[in-house]
Amino acid sequence: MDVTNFFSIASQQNRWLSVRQSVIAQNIAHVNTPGYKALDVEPFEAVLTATGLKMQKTQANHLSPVSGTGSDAQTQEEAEWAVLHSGNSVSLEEQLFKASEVTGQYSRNTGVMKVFHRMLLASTKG
Amino acid sequence: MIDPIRVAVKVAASGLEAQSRRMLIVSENLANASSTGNTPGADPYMRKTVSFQAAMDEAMGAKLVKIDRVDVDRKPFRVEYDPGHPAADVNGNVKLPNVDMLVELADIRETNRSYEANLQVVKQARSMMSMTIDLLRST
Repeated sequence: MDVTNFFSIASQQNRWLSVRQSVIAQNIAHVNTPGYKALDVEPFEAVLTATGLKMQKTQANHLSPVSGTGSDAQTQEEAEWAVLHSGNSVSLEEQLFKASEVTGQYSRNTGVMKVFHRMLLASTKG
Repeated sequence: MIDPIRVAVKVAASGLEAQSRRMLIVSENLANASSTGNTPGADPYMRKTVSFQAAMDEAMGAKLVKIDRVDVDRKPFRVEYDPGHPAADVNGNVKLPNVDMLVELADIRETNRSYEANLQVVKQARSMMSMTIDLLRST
C-alpha cells in the first residue's frame, strides 16, 4: 500500500470517528429525554466501500439504481440494551464504553500517522 | 460543515445546561418541602416537574436537549392536624406540599450521573482535538 494512500484512509477514519463521537455525545445528552432512541453511525467498512454518490430512496415508488438498492441513512437506530418506560433506549454504560473506544481508536490512528510521517521525513532528509 | 468534534462538545454542553436546570427545579422542590400557604385553608407549594425534549439544530445537524416544559405535580397534598397553624382550615387541618424527599434525592442522584456523563464526553472530545493538533508538533 502506498504511504499517501495510508494518510487518506487514516484521515477518513478519523473523520468517521469524530462523526461517531458526536452521535454518541447526542445519545448521552439525551439520556433523560422521553421517547429518545439511541443512534449509531454505519460501520466504517460500509462508508469506505461506498464510493461515489448514491441515490437515496425516500419513497417506495422511486426507481432503484441499477447496482443494488439505495443506501441507508447515515445514522441508524442501534440494537437496544434496555428501553425505559419513557421510551428512552440510551444506556449510559454502553455509550461511555463506545466513547472511550472511539477515543482509543482515534489515538491509535494519530499515533500511526505520526510514525508514518517520521518515516517520510527520514527518507526525504536522508 | 462544522467539525463533528465541536458538534459533540456543543451537544454535551446543551445536556449539561438541561441537567443543571433540572437540578435547580429539584432544589426548589427540596427547599420548599414544608412551605405552606399563609391564609386559612390555602394551598401549599406544589411540587414542580421538568421534562426534556430533543430539538433539531439545522446548522449543526444534531439534536440538542431543550427543556420541554416545567409542570406542577398533581399529586394530592399531605394533610396534617395542627389547629394552631396559620394555614389551618376550620377543622384544624393544614395542607403540606406534595414533595417526597426520597423522590427528590433520587432525582438529584440521576441528575448528577447524567451531568457527569456529559462532562466525560466533553473531556474525550477535547482529548481527540488535542491529538489532532499534536500531529503538527515536530518530532
